[in-house]
Amino acid sequence: MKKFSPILQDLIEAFKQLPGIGVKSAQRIVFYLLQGNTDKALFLAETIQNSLVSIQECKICRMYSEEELCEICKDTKRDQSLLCIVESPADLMALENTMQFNGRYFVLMGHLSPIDGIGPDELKINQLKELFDLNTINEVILATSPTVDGEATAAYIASVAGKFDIKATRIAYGVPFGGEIEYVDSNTLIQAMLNRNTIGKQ
Amino acid sequence: MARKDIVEHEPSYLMHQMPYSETSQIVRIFSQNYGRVDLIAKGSKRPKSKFRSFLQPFLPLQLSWSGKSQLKTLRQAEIHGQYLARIQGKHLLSAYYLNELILSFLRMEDPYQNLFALYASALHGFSESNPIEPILRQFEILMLAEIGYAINFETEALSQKPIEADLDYVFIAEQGFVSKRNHNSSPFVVKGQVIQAINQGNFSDQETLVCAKKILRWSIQYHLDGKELKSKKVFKAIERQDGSK
Ligand SMILES: [Zn+2]
Repeated sequence: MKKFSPILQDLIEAFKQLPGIGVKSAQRIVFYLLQGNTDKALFLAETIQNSLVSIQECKICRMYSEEELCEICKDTKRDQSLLCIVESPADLMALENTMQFNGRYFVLMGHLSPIDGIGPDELKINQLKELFDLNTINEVILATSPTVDGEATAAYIASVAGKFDIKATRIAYGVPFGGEIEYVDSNTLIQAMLNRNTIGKQ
Repeated sequence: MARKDIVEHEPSYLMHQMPYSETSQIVRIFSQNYGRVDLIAKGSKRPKSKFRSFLQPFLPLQLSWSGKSQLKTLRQAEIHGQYLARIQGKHLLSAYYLNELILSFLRMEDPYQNLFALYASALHGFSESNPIEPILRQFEILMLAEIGYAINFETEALSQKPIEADLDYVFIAEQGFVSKRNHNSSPFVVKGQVIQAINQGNFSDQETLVCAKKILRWSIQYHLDGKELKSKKVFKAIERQDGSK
């Protein structure tokens, strides 16, 4: 026997598909929206509808944007000579929230993954090359994940940047700040040892 | 080998991983004594997962798992043995290619101990930036043999006469080498001495490398039965990009 009428069941299912939401939470959200919060439900429905119609990839950096260029690419005060490469919009937001980086970004929307068939075409490397070709970039900062795939992606883009005589740097990784060595897993420790920096006499 | 419900500290390499749910992954591994196994790594996508930094390809791992069904549950993961220098560039792409071969051809839960040993030494060779082609050819030849599609480099197909150094042969993927005399139309002729060199694993000569590459490409394509290797496609796309600037 079905517990709910079909439309109600569909609505619960729709919420259940979202990250971090199980059956219980989905039911709670649905009942909340239906119990005298129809204005909120309507707002949610309309904004989702609107964003699906109007949000596209920024023509320059591939970040989500409702105009041809995103807010960051439109901002003339940002440093045109620095380009930070990230895998996803979430990574871009994380870096942006540190408020320490004033350059621009390029979002790959993934990483190199040969076994999944994800290569330069899927990551739109041609679009990145067009940026390199503008001659405004002095440094490419590779902020891809500290994984084998992320490393492969960084190394590949660094080699492409090299052909345009653009310097490429890789974000550092290793022991987490504020952590204790004793509790860091062995693989991370090995990476930290391999990627050590000079702090005293050269 | 008898099936066991619990496997402990098994030397393994991760071939590929894919998301299973928001927090878990399926990891597809190649292990020394159990061959290809699929495991579910529960919670491995959580920031504090104990598996998180270990579930990467090309690392010498020691894994423990349990379960009777096809999909086992990963219990423990640790680094085991010597840590290799980072594999880079074309060597890294070649390592992905080996992983895709393993995923495409090996039967599940069947041990391939010789191939496992060769895989480990291939990774070692890649990490030292040794020449790629001989490593790939040796792996492909042994893999085909281990899965029951051995290429016969010793005797002629059909007649079973030994391959002779100064005769010419033609390679046919579904049969093997046949005397050129019976196949005048074939554009690809292999010298007997080249076949003998491949059989001895001697790839020092350029002609041997070129012929071995063609023979194995045809053979693997034949056994793939129309399926395309994705890593090859990515490899070609990267080469195309390299050429265009
Ligand atoms: Zn943009």
